[in-house]
Amino acid sequence: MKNLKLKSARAALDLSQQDLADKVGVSRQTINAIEKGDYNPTINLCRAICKVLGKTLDDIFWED
Amino acid sequence: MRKKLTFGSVTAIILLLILLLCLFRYDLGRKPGYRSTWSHVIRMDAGKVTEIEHLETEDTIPASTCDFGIDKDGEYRLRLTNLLQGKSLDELQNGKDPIGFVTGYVIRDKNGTPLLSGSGDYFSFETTLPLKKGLYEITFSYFADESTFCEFAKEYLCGTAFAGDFTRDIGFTSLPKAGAWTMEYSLSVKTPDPVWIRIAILILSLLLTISFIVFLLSCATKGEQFKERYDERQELEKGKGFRYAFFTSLTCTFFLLYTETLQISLPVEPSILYITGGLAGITVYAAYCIWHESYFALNQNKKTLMISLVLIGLANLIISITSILNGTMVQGGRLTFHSLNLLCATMFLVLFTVMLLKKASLQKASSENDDDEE
Repeated sequence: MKNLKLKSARAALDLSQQDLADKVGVSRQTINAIEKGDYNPTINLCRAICKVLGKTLDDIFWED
Repeated sequence: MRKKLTFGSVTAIILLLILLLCLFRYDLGRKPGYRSTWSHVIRMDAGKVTEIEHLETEDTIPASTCDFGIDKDGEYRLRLTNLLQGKSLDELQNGKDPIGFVTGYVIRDKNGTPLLSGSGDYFSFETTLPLKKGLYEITFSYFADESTFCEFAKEYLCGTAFAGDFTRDIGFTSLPKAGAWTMEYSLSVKTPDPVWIRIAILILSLLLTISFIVFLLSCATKGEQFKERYDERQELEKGKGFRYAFFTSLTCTFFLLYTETLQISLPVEPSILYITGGLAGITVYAAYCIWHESYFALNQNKKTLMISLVLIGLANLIISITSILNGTMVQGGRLTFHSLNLLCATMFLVLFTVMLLKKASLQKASSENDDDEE
């Protein structure tokens, strides 16, 4: 399932996928795969993404 | 700012020099040397051998000759094969049915002095001979009984002391007594590379080996910040790639065992088949990882690695082309070990194609994303 919350949180900070990937320390394709729903990140990666975007885990990774 | 010579650029320069030397060796336009192929039909009747083609003598030992000339003094690489029509050397050596006669050959100079001799029901060999300018002659003789062969062995093969044992080892009594066989011969005489090319290739190969050792040592000792880093998704995909590569190699190995068990003869040297399985696995792993963007590490320079891959692929391609021109790629109707370079070149071509396709796919996805955002 697509992660639109991640996409919108990223867009809100005007970050490209590559920018977010560089800040988090992963590849652009990984961020792309998470947003498309093709990859389930580990909790450590989820926390790293949330830290960069200034959001909580619930804000980005909790299913509504 | 002046750029430093990096390890990668030094290796690339060495590879380029080797490539240039390989091209120069086969010196576009250079003559490949003397080459000749012919065939004889050998018939056995009532225990005697009678050659049908090229019959030049009425002696009890049927014989035929082939001449070749040398333009200038030097060391020459001589390759001679004598195989049963349609069969490879491996098939003949692994087969159980001997042919009905033994071939003996003698190479003589214009004065009739023997330079090289040998015997066998079939053979394929290469040797280097110092030859002077002039005409040379190869004479083939055919034997179906011990006494005439023993005389030949005494004079040309092993001397009087060992001729008897040598003849007994042939096992004439086990040979069939009647039939016809077509033997295919090939002779090629080539000038070896000039000494300076051989030395240059040796030095460059040593430099390449040293640079490879330095590279391995630097990989082992480099600090944490220089080690390749992959993210968790890439590690996962690499694991999947390794799995697919493993099963690919396993499948190739089972196929090889299957062909060997059923004694299915393939037109390839066995060593090549074993290596093909490994190469297939490597290709599957690399192609899968490239497609899932887990081949290149996060902190790796993609461009440098791609250039290295292209150079190595080109080097293998050029070496395989020279093997084809040299006639060493296929011998006796079989792909030889020299075809390994062609396999490697094919592997690099496949990987390069996958890289280009992935790049095109990413560009298309990127433009679609831009359209969505608009």
